[in-house]
Amino acid sequence: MNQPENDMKYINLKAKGFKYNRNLVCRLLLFNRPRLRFVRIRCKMSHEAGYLSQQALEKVIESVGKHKGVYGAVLSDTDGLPLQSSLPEEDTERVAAHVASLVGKVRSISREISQEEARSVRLELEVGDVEIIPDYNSEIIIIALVKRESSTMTLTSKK
Amino acid sequence: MSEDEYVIPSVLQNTIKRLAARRGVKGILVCDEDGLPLQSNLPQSDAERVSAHVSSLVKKVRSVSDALDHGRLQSVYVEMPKSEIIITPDEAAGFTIVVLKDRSG
Repeated sequence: MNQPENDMKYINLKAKGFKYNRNLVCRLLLFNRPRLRFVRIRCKMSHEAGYLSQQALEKVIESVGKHKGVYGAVLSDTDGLPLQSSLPEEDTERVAAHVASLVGKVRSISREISQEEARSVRLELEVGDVEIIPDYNSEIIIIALVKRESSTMTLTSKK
Repeated sequence: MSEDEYVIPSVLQNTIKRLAARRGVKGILVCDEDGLPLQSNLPQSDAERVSAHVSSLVKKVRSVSDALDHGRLQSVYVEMPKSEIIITPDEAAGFTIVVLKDRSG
């Protein structure tokens, strides 16, 4: 039976083994509204001397950007330093810094309230959604800016 | 009802009842901007703890959304493996509705 909350959409990313020098597998699930339709993307990120390769990061951004309504994606670490992005540089830095501080807050709150780690955070704003997928093991945050169908505005345009 | 008690509008009270009746909903909480619980079906200590945390989170999210120029905040979803927190702040009315939900249900 379909439940009314099926209009929820989320992306789930598990990026394990980032700290070890081996291949990193990312799984991305994105639930699109209004139906629970999910797309699974697998991408392999290769390490070179413990660092993620630039190509791998680009691949993640690309795969996030493919989803419906996503017009901007930022990959950042939990300190707010952007790793890769499809946005202009200044927007990237602004988004990454703010979201990283928010993610730190969300972590402590989700632990306090239900003793769990947050898997995804979605901010619904007037002009669109901001989907945040923190991964505390690998210290990576994926941020996707999703546009509403009805909205013609873009989120990052400065007034 | 004593005089100094906060009076929740009946519309809101109905909303709370409707929300609480839904499957998977563990708790409903209405708190004000300062993080004080106004109405809740959680135990008092839990309600105070949750509302304090949520109001600080809402403040943070507001500052983020202001900085990102993304318009007004409508709601915040925090998804965890087993549960979910849905926060809907209402700036004009000055209160925030928090729904704690089980994901399995």
